[in-house]
Amino acid sequence: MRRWRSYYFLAVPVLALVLFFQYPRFNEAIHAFFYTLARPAFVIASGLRQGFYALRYESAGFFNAVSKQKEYRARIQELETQLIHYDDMERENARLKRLLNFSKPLGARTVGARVIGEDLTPWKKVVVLDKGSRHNLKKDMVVVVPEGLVGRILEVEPYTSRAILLPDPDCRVSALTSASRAQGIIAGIGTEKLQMRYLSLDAEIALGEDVITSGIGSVFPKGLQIGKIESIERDGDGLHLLALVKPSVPFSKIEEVLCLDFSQQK
Amino acid sequence: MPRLFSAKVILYFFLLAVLDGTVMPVFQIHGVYPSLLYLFVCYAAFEWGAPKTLFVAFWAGLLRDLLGGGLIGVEASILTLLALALDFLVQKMEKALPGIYFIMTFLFAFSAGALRLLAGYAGELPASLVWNYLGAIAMTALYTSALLPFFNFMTNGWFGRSSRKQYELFR
Repeated sequence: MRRWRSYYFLAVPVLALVLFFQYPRFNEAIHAFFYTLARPAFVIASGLRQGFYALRYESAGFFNAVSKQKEYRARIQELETQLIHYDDMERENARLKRLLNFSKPLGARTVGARVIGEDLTPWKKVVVLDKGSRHNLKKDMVVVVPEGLVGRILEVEPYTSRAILLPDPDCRVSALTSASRAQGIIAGIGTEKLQMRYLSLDAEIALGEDVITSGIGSVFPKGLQIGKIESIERDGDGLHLLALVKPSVPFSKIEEVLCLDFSQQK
Repeated sequence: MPRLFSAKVILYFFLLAVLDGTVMPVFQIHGVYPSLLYLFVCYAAFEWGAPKTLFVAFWAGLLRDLLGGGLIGVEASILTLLALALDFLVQKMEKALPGIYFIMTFLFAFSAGALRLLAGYAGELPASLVWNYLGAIAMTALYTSALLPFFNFMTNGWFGRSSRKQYELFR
């Protein structure tokens, strides 16, 4: 009898699985209810999380900064020289824009959010943000940090939302290389690196070249930094090139993000 | 052994879920981090025995489902099924074998991850990616099982009891 009771117990989650599979709206409602209920705990725990972050990354950063002081000084000089060059370029750019009668694009509406949780599945890269539909977040809003593109909003609940990051296997972004203008699709492979797929065989891509969003599709605007090309090889089918991309965003260290809404521009 | 419907157990479940979702990712190594809810199921199997393991596995799975954002019931079913197998193995295993608890926790966490992968992407993933994901699952299982002595200490502290078991890898 005891043994059979164990099997009955197994029936409970299976029944729940069938029920929620049959009624996905009910599934979403339960998720929304859970996150609304658990949000205060997550917000409190995110304070603890930031403390651990500081302990893990910033204490090591202090020692690195001391040892790299000379290197940084040389780099600052180099960058100052580049800055003068960029000032010239900016002036030239402004002149050319006026000539072509370009209108300055409207800025997107932005919402800042804090990462308060992460998905527990090892290969999934989905984070929980502390803002939701009550803070004007919408599905498919673009998520960025100063280093570049992070991902997009996947699900929105009243007080929280879930953002899918670029390394997630279910995230796809249309991209192009900055110098050679080769187009491809950026996809996650379950590791910290990204893959740029479907590159043309005759594309002349250099190692270290920047990869940016191409603006094709309705979600991501053109020109957001994604990463740098690390290696290139032929795809398994032999019809395309496949590049490994080192993301410019340190996905394991994201604490705050900016969500951009371009829907009003369209 | 505490009563399962006590505030202490419910609060501990909630604490582990919140830690799993917020704090544990900070300790990630190459993108993988341990799961305290998996450890709680193994702890229940080793310390509390058969009927309670199923209860713990079900609630741990349900919490992971709720935290994960996918279909509710997938992890709960997987963990309850694996808890049945774990209970069976705990009754049969040679408890004096060094590292046996570590090995069983590893196998439990690895099987849970592999079944989750199967449930999520059955037949859809290219072979090269399957190996990537299995690698991540194995690393997660290794990391999780390495935390067993610490988790045992923490859980015993929470429930105010001392363990009779030796969780170290070697003795």
